[in-house]
Parts: sequence; structure tokens; C-alpha cells
Amino acid sequence: MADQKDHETTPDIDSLIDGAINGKAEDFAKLYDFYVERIYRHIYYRVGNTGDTEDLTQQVFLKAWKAIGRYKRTASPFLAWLLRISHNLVIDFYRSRKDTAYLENEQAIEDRKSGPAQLAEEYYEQQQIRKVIRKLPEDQQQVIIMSFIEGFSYSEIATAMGKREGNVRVIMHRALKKMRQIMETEKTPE
Amino acid sequence: MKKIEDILALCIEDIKAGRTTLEECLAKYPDMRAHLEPLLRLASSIQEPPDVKPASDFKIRARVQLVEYIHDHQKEGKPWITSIFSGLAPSRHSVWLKTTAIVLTVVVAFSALGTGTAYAAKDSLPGESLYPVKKAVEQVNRVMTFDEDARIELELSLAEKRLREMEVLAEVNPGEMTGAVNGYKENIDTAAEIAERNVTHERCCERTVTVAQAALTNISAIDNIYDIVPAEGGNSVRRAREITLEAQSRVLTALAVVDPVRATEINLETMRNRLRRADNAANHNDTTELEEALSQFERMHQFGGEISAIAKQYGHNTTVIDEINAQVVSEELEVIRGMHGKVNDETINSLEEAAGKQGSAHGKGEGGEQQEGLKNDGSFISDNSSITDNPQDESENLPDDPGNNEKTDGDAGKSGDSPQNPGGQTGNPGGGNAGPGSGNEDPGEDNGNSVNGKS
Repeated sequence: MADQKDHETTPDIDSLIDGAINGKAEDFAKLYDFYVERIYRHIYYRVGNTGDTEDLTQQVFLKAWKAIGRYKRTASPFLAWLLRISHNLVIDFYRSRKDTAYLENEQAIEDRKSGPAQLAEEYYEQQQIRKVIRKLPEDQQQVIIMSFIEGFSYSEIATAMGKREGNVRVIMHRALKKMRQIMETEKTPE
Repeated sequence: MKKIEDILALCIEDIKAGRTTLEECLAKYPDMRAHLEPLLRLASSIQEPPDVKPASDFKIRARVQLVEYIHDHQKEGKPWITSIFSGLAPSRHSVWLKTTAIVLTVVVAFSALGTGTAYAAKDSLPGESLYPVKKAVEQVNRVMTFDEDARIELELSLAEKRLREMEVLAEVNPGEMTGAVNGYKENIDTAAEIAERNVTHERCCERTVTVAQAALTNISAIDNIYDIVPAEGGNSVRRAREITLEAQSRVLTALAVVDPVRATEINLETMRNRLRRADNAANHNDTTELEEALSQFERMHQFGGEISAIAKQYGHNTTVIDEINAQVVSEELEVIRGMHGKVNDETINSLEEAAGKQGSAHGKGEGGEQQEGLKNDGSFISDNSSITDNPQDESENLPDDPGNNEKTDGDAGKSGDSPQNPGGQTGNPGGGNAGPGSGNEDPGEDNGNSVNGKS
């Protein structure tokens, strides 16, 4: 997050945002170049397969372009604003696909495709954690991912989510408890 | 006293920042150890996922699409864009803006990927990671080609490239054929669109002829691909053929306005092509392909009538056109007679049905009262109640011309109606609008209702 924040405060990014707000497609394309990997990674963590991640990533930037005139730099960093758009799109994505088994299957297929032949135990554990995270309520997922995966501070998460910092801490606490509960349940033999 | 969530959050931040360790944090809050420890251990186990990055081809493709989307929508007019560029004509500006943006997009993308990528991508196929790079390079060429003749040449050459991709995919990966066919459609449709755009342009004829003849060549190439593709790619290949025929019809319709004889000649060549295809399919007892080739032939034959009607509408003499249209029916019958005996009963039935349709569609007599079929010698005959009556009133497909509707009503190719041909000499001596003969023998007397062996 430190690198990203440094970049975000540079005049280049600010001027690119200004250019994009003024309708310069090239400036917006450069913002895309700068942020696409972060957005992609964020979405991938939440949907777990390449195809949907690519679709949603494209949608994020299209939506951002359409809404760029309403972006206020003082309210939140540009990345946080993009992540908020991503978050809303992921929620819509889940709502449109009520069959969550689909996601599990996709994840399994994807893992077989992209992972090394011999998965390290640690890697396997991370997969399990990702699956557990995806079972959390939406706001809890968002807080966990923004904090642990994206490296945002609590105040930045609060800004991006439109909540108070104290609320974010409460959500974090609930999220970790819920994750533990899910993991315990899954460990228990049926 | 601090709340548990605040302590947890503080510990997590300090551990992440390396300011403290998990054990130190737990030691600091011994009363809460039982609650904190499992949560902190869980939090510590959440790591950033390794190597989750978008593929390079996705990044390029998405960027190109994003920029194209932006410029396409800017063309529709947004307040900020018109205010910034108010001194420029919108269309000119948008073309340059789009061109610049796409060129920049590809240049930036290639810079990121390395210089060898474009070269490596040139032989890529749909479904391969570098294929979007290949398409992006082509897209730059397309938007930078402003001369319309050059653009038509480019689109036709790209369409050919798509066909070569289909040919390779037919053998190595037929499941990816759809991508090549979609690209082919875009290229051939764009070429047709430019060619037909302005029929009064001094180069209209050359453009339409170029596209129509390229389409004819492509149809043969597509037939060859169809012959090698396994079943799973068959529909895609058939779709490519239909796309080609539709594009050709569009440009020939435009050509018919200024040079209907040339349009008819090219249509005739395509009809002959379909007949040869039908003959070939019959030799291989391929019923599906045979029926499709004959169906395409039938459509083009009807289209020949439309060309004739357009010619009339625009004041051309249709004598030569109608003669050509009559000639091709004769050729069709020759081919169908040749097929007889090569194919099984099922195929014969489909042949008979197709030929019956031809007879009724094109052999309709004056006033549309008579039905006609095929004689043993291949000529059309009338009063055959067993033939399917499928009158195709070609005048229904004419472009709007209220002044001409009355003349063509009921029989578009009918002789004697054209102001240029008051004597009714249309090359249709039998009295029908396209049939070469006017016999009255019942074709159904020895072999159904349409096809017989040579007599």
C-alpha cells in the first residue's frame, strides 16, 4: 500500500485524474495501466476465477469512466474509489449468481490450471483461507481484503466504505470470529 | 478500558508493521489472551495471494476496448468534450482522437510486453494468449487507413487472414473457430459497407465488384475448410459462408443500381459456384451440404430477379439480365440431371423438392396463374399440380418506388412491363419470367415431380 499511496500523491496521478475528469481518454487509459493489477487482484480474491475476474475488472473501469465526473479527490484516494466500485460490482455479481457452488467449482478448476503440480502446504492453506473469506458477509469480506490483501489502513477502509473507523474495527473483529467459526465447522466431521 | 475490537485492531496493525510480535501483544493483554490469540493467529495467516496478475493479453484487450468505448461514446457528444474541442469538426476530431488513442494504447502495451511480442503474435490463433495482440496491431492499421479503396483492400486482406486461421483451426482447434468467424464477419461486413455506402461514387462499381468477387473467392475457400473441419466446427464454417453470401448480396444490390448486368454476371458466377458445390456434395452423398448448396443457389436465383427489378426501377434495359437469369436455370437443370443416380433416395427427394421450388418460383406464368415443374429435358412445364407452389413475388423485395410497383406486381421478371422493353423481349421465350422453356409435359409421370434422368 505504501508504494501505491506514494504514487497516488504524485502530481502525475493527480493530473491524470484531472485529465480524465476533463474527458481525456488517454489520461484515463494511463490510470487504467496504473491500477488494473490492483483491481484485478482484489476481484480475483473475491470471485476466484479468471474469466469472471476479467469481466468484472473491465466493468470496474467502464463504470469508473462513466462516473469520473463525480469523483472527489478529497473524499477518498482514487484506488479506494475504484475498490468501492469493484466491491459493488462483486456484490451484484454474487446476487446475479445465486448458485454459489458454481464459484467453488470454478475455483477448483482454476487452481488446478494455474497452480504448480505439487502444491505446497502453505499454498493450500491460503486457498482454504480464501474460500473462507468468500463465505463472509460482504462488508466483512471487504474489510478483510482491504486490510490484509490490499494493505489499507483502517481510516482508508472507512473512507472507501463510507463508514466510521470504529465501525471498521468492529467489522474486522466480527469477520475474524466468523472465519474461525466457519473453519471450525468445516473441520468437524459430519 | 479499551474495547476488544480496538485491541485486536491495534495488535494487527502493530504486527503487520513489525512494531511488535504476536506473543508480545498477547502478553500485553493477558486477560484477553484466550479471545485474542486465535483471532491474531488467524489474522497472521492471511497473506497476500502469490502471482495473481492479469494476463498481458487481457490487459491489452481490455485497454483497447476501454479506449474504443470512450471514443465511441464521445462521438455521441458530451458537454465537456464539445467545449474542449469546440474549434474542431466533431467527426474529424473523433476519428483522430480515436486513432491517436488506439495507437497510444498499442504502443504502451507493446512497450510493456517487449518488442518481440508483436512479431511473435503474427501467427497466433484465436484462443491463444497473443491473439489479442495480433488483433490490436490490425486495429491500428484499420483506424489509420483513411482512403476508402485502401481500407476495402485492407479489410478483404484481413478477411482472408481470418479464413487462413479458420483453416488451421479446423485441424488443430475447431472449438475456437467462432473467434475467427466473428473477426471475418467484421472484416467482410466493413468492406461491404464501405463499397455500398455511396452508389453514385465514381469508384462505386470498382469497389462493389472488388468486394463481390472477393466474396466469391472466399466462398470456395470456406467450402474447402468445411471439407476438413470436424463436426464441432461445422456450424461456424457454415455461418462464415452465410455471412459471405449476405455481404455479396449487399454489394451486388448497390452495383445493380448502376451496372445491373455486371451485378447479374457476378451473381451468376456465384450461382454456378453453388451448383458445383451441390454436384460435389452429391458425389460424396453429403445430403446436408447438398441441400444447403441448392438452397443458396435458390436464394441467389431469386436475387437475380431482384437485380432485374432494381434495373427496371432505375431505367436500365433488362433484356440481357433476364437472358442471363434464364441461362442459369438451364445450367441448374443440367447439373441436377447429372446428379441423378449418384445419390441415395433421401437426397433425391431433397433434390426434387429444391428443383420443384425452383420451378414454381421462377416458372410462374403470366398473371401467376400457372404452376410449372421440370420436364425430362430440363425445361419448365406448367399445370403440374404436384409441384409445391412457392411463388416468390420478387417485386416484394424491391426498394421503394411507388411508381414502379404497379408494373412489377405479381411478376418481377415479367416481360413486356419495362418501359425500356415494351415489346416484352426479356429473353424468356417460354413466357415465364425465368424458365427457359414452356413445355407442358407432366414431370411427375415417371419420377416424382421434378427431377428426371436425361431423356
